[in-house]
Amino acid sequence: MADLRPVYAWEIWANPILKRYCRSRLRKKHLIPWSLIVLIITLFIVFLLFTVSQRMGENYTWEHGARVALIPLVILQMFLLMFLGTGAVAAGIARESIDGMIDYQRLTPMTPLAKILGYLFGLPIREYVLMGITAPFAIYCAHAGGVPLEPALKFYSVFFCSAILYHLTGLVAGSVVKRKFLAGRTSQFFVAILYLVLPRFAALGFIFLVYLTVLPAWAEQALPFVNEARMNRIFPGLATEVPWFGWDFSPTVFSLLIQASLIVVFVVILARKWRDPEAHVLGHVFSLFVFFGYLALLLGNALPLIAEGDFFAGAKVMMGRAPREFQGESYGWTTMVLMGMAIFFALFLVMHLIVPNRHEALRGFRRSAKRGKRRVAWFSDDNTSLGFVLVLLALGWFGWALFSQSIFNSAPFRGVRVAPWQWLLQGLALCLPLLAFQFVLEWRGWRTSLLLVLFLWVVPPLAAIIFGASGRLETIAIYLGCLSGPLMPLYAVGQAAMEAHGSGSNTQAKVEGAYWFAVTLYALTLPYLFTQWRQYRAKLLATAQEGRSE
Amino acid sequence: MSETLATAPAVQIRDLRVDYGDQVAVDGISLEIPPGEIFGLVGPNGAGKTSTFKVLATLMDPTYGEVSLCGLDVAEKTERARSLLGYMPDLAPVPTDLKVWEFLDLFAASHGLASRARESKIDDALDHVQLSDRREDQCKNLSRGMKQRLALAKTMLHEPRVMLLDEPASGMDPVSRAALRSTLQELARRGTTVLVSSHILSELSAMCTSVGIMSKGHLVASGTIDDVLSQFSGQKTLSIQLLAHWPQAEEIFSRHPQVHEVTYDADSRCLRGRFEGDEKAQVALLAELVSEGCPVQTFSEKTRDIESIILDLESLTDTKTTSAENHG
Repeated sequence: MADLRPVYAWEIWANPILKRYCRSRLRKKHLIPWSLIVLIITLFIVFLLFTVSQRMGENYTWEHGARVALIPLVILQMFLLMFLGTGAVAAGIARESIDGMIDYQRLTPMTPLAKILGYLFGLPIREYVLMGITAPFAIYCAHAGGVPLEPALKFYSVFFCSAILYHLTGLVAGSVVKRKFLAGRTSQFFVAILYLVLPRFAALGFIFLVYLTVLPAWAEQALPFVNEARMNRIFPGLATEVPWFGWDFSPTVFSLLIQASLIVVFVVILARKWRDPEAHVLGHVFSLFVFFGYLALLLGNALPLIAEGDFFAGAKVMMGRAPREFQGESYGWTTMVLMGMAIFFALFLVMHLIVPNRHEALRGFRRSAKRGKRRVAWFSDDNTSLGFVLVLLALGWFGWALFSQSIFNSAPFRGVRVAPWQWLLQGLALCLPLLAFQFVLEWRGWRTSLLLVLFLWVVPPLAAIIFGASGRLETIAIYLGCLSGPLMPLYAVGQAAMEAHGSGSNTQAKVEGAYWFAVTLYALTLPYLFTQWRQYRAKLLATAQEGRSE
Repeated sequence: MSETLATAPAVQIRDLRVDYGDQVAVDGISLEIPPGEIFGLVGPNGAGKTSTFKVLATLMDPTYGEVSLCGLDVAEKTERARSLLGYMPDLAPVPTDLKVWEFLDLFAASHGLASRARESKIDDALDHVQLSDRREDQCKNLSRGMKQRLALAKTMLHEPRVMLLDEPASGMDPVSRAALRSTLQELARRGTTVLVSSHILSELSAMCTSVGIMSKGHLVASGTIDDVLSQFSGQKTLSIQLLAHWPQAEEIFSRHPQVHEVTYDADSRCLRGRFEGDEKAQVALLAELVSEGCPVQTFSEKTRDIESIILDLESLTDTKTTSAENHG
């Protein structure tokens, strides 16, 4: 045998996958045209602002111009590295998978981490080089603009951390979506959504979302160079300290922490997939940690802000509402519904990721039968995910109840009367439909369960909208809407909101009736689904044991 | 550890089972292959060859069963086992964006070959597969057969102890096939164990030192080619070519107690039948035909080859399955 030495993950410069992409993605015929385009755009930005600053006189010097030039340069760098780079990563890994090269690479004795790092930095190597072309101009502008080294370094640390995070997202997307074009566009769409849409949700209680971008770090590091009022107008509330449970972090540090933890999650997911391509994206135990982390992020920001009253004040600023127009209580009820829905969808996704399909469940039983056991190991991906789903539901319920309780205790809710068992009503709305979904998902597989989701959770609310729009079938519309699992948090909170104001209206009675109708329906369905699920598991066990006796 | 590597069987499979849902792809096979063998795994499509190869190549987790390469359990010491392994899949892919030498360099480096040694290893491998003149070409510009040869070069770069080749000769021209055969025989001489799966059975019997026959997930026979043939040696075929159509010859042949399944090919004027007798019985049968005036042009015994055994096994398994389904 040839003399072989292991390829270590930390020797990134010697990583064969990185070198492979340095060869294939940096060929002159591709690199030169791209470099020229980037160079022309960069030169245009710098010279335009330089020329403008020369004509504006004393009020607008080149120092100002250079600082302003930094903004389009950073946007260009973001476009190159985060947008194009993420697309290149996702499309590249999808192509490796389609070509069958992934299996070759899987068989090499490199560690999963070395392989991940190779692809992570190799696939977007051209985009790194293109960004490098803009770097001298950015450095020059920062120097001419009097920007000190420290804030620049802090900003770029978040910049690269974000780029790595998005590229990892691209790697995961490319591993799941097996079409090159679709994988590339999906991941780019994700980056666009992250910057253009998700920061808006920060105003609705999902504050952590904005820290997945470079915006808070930019806002904080650029603050000394711009007027504070102007900064608040462009990035409302982003340059201030971020509370997280009992701690306060600077936006830059919090961005780094949150992004680094997500990087760890993605690396674990990819390492699992490298070791075993058939493995679930999340293992049963790991899913608990991930969901717990998600809740910690959601609540860690929101709870201290609610307690100090900044939650509502911050939202007011972010929404750009005048104080008279902003109604704290309505905002509180809305965020409660949205929080319930966010937890619902997160649970839905995690349940989908950890449920064993028929093949896996049967394999688990066969392996156990081979060892003379009836039960599958509790942590195995092949075991039923029901136990973990119950824990996840309990966690989600607890998180939502905690958030709601803290809203009820806040200043805008003083004098608002809420039933002491409201937490129970919310819990039923969250857990019953998801539990029903879990049984169907495991028993019938994802195709049937998604079909059911379509016909029971998507079509009824759409029909309800049509009935509601007709203006005559309000009762049917309200009852139909409540059949949809993701809308049940709305009904659970909505009836409490109506009751708190003692409206006693006809609509309140209908909403209450619809809520109890849906709860009863799901509660009655559960025993049937549970029985079917048990029979399904018993059949699998019998099949596995028959296989042994043969 | 190194002692274990040297003395252990190159491949050891115990009670391997692979399922796809309700479908059993590999059903409890056990196998042991000593170092330096060229082992041919043969069987029709769906026999379970590729699933077995994928488990051996650590690309798939079996439902259960133990697989070890040179004494290393592939489930426990996956990375270590991979360094001993070279795998060439069916219709082996090559990258579309790399040159021939870059592709080989990627895998030589991924296996941990030092940069000094890589250059000469790549040249040697390209020489072996006769692609030295294509060193600087883009992989995508190679023909199907050349891509197969390039994949073979990639597989042997790091001098693996065990090579798994799934249909390695597909797309190769006769000259390349002959070269493949001599390359594999040379590797085996150096102590490399080669597992080959192929549908081209004549090719396998020419290069393999032992074979395993798979059918419907079962390993129905394994051993040296002579061993496997001897397991089915009771079955041979007699072939009698006549100068002209002679119904009496067919009658004599058919009524002989040791002749079964008689067929007549009008084009070649040839009578064929499965014969269970010994050489004396053959002489007696020929004498009877001649004495009755049958115009016998040639009289020959055909020993069964692997191909006919597989075909028979296949039909036998089909019959058993149909029968079981009918009774079930």
